[in-house]
Amino acid sequence: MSMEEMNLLNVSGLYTSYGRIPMLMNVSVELNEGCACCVLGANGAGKSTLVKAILGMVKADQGSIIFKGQDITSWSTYKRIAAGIQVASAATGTFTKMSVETNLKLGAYNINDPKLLAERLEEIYTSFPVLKARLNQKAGTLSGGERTMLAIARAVINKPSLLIMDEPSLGLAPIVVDEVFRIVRRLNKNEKITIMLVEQNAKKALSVSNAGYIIQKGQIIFSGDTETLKNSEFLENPVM
Amino acid sequence: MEMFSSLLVSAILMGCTYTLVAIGYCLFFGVLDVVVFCCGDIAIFGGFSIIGAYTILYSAGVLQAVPAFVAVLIMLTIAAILCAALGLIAYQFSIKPFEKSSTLMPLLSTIALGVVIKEVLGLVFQPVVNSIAAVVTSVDDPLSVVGGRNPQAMPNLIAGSGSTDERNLIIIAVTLAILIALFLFLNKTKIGLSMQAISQNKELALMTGVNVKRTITATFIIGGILLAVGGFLLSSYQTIIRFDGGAMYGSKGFSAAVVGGLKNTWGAVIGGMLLGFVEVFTAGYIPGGTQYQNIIAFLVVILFIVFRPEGIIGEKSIEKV
Amino acid sequence: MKTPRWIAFIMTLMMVAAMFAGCAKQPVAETPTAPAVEATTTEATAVPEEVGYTGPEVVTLGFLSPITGPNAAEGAAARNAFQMAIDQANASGEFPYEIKTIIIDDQSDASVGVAGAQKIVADSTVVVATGHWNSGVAEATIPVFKDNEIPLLIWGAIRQSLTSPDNYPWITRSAPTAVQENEPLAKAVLDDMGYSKVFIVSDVTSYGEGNVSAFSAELTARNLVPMGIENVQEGAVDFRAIISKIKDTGADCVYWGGVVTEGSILKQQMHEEGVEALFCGISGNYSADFLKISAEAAEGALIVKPGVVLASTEAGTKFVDDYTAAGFAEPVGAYTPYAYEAALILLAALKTCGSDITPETMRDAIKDGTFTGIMGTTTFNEFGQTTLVAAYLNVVQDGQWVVYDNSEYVTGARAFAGK
Repeated sequence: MSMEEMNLLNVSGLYTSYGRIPMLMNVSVELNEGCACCVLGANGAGKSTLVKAILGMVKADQGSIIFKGQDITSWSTYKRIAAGIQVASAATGTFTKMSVETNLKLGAYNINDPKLLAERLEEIYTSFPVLKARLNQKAGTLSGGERTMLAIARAVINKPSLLIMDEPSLGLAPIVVDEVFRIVRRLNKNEKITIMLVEQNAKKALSVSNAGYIIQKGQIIFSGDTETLKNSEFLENPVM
Repeated sequence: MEMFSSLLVSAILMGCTYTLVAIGYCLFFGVLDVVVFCCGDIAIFGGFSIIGAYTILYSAGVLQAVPAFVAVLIMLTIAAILCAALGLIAYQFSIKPFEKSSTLMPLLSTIALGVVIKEVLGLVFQPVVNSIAAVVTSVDDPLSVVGGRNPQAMPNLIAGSGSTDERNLIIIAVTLAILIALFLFLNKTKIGLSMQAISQNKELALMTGVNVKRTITATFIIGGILLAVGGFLLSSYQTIIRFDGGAMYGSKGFSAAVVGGLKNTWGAVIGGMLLGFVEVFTAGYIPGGTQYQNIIAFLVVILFIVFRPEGIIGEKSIEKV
Repeated sequence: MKTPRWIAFIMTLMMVAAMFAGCAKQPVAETPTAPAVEATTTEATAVPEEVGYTGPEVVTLGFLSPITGPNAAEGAAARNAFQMAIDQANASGEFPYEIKTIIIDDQSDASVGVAGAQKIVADSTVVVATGHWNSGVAEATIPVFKDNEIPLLIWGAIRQSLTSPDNYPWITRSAPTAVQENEPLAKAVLDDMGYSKVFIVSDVTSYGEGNVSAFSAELTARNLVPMGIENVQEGAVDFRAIISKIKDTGADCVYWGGVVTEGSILKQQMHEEGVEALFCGISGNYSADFLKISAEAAEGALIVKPGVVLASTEAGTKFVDDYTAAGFAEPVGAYTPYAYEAALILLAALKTCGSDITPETMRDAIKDGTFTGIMGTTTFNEFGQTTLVAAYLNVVQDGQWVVYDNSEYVTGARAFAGK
């Protein structure tokens, strides 16, 4: 396999700003197909901005974003989603006033074939049995863990090429966190979905990833494979 | 008892007309988080479009050639198209340029647009219609178009020669039909679901892949159509239409939307009905109450804002984790 | 969903706006221009020498009206009638001095009017002035005339407050105010036609409120009580609740105190809801627009209008003939006879003064005089308002305004609702 085929997402030299305040400075991230890669950083380090920049919700001042060999830097969000990027975010989560089923159907926004949609829904029900039991319940009434499951399922139903998981463990009980990371591993290993895991929980994140980046004050201060990262001094940093 | 029942009918009918414009506010506020203040004027524009279409079609002989309900549908379609176009103009010129400014900017610019719509209706529309009216009156038409900036007579399109009871029933039935259609549209179609998604959680809607621009465009088209029907029902019920009636109609619709919770379409229905009842019964049962009906109606709304800011059936907002 | 605080602010604003929506709106002249005072002096006509006459040789009368601007038609016709009366007087040989005029075009603009008034009072030969079609302009010039002690007879501005104890005796008015029209209306409806169960509907403007109190007073004077009084906001379009109330009270007559826009809607909706009651009101509703809302619904509306049917009297017919013969560009308007009448009053006052013609003698001659002109016999009450309310009834018949006396409602071929 050549490098081009291997490379799924290539963010290079990315700068973004909020008003006049610079948010990301010269951020470069590379994701190969099939990998699980984590982006670690403290609160406010720029993790969410990076996610939004990849999705096109924050404008890139400089730099480029290449996805599947196409330059998507100036694409609008819905086009990037249609191209195969999905996000499961703990913070923005779910449409709380809609039923679980509606959430899933909205998630499958780009699936227009009703037969395919029904198939995918069945698959989701099999892999997330907890959701099947709550189909008609409003998402706002689910427990935190169930809501995270729904957020993931809502993204996965599209079988994305790249799944960005934005702090999936946020605010969950340890036992649920374990469950979430089991799902992450399964998606990566069995479903062959490339995963970009954005996390504060470094230990958990590293346990499922094969490469990682550390972001601090809007800059990537370290990158490398998991083993190097685990032993790196950066994880000792009290901020992490 | 007779008085009570006639007031009841008036209240329901007022409620129906308020509801439609209130839903317009809700839809726009849902996708944009912005109050589009010219909703009332767009609705009035819809009413005038129908008068214009009526006059033109009558003089062209189209109206006489087709069954009455077909004629009404043609005119409604014309009004809906024009209102949808006006809705898009409102979005393009008085909302979009202020996307990044404070929410008060589009509010003010849509108020300004409302004034423009009103004045254009008062000035330009009248001579145009008058020139056609000469033709119309020559064929002994029941509708004579009024000159100047005074109210225009609304042709009796609903239940043509039928009684007012029949007309009132049809107005209520049309409102119900629209509410049902809207319910199905919002919950069963992709674009309807997208509108709800944006309304509930814009960021997540973006992340889900909703085409926000297209949805906003669609919302303004749907809203325009709703307002056109609202204007049609309102002017049919009142039998006349005033070019300057948009501000008051809009304020009432906005109030109904606030009572309902601004993003809650079904709250708007209750809000509209509540407003209609408060107004009509204030005027009906309090001696000299007519003078204060608007004040009391707005007072009810302010009480709502103070004591139930989330709206009449709104849920307490769930704080994000 | 939380309602932002600014929405509460907007709602409060809307409520305040609703409260004040009814505040009186007076027409404002839309074309303010630099004071362009047009002053013309009539050509001297042959003045007969009278033996023993010791008074002034020239007497000047001031006249103000909107000859250009938004109300030019009424103003110019009034100017024509006024000048015609003066020319006729000069030609008659009855005055041992020359009567000159200073004609001011106030353009319906208060500031232009004040400049014109100052021009009039600055002329030492001026002994009296008559003026104004616009109440707003009259209000502005009144202090000028009062301060300079030149009497002003108002011929066409009808705002109630213009004549008052404060302005008396320098300011008098020969035109009836709108409110005075209620008197002949009440007489016709309550006395002659015999209606007694009156429901009053009006708007919250000062015009509407003035009418409500005037008509209520007429009811009280006849020991009647209104079945209800409802005031709508300006811009009202829905009268259904009021109509339910009217039906409930069993009223046989609805008095409308507002103006044409809301009045025509009320009449239309009364017709639609099948209210069996007479609809009556004063001249603010006498307009072609009233007919156009729906000819069918307007049928039987009874509206009183100031003035006289000129063709019905000899003096009136002569005035119209003279005016037509003079070949003026502007046709006779509603207030043209009033301007002519004012000129006749001034001329009669001049005669009363004899050779002692000063602003003071003119003032007293006007306020104490009794004048017979084309409209009837004018006297002034204790604050300078005319007691002559010449008015006649009009009724809508087959989509047209018809003088009541000539209508089928008089002959009995048709009957009013509620009878």
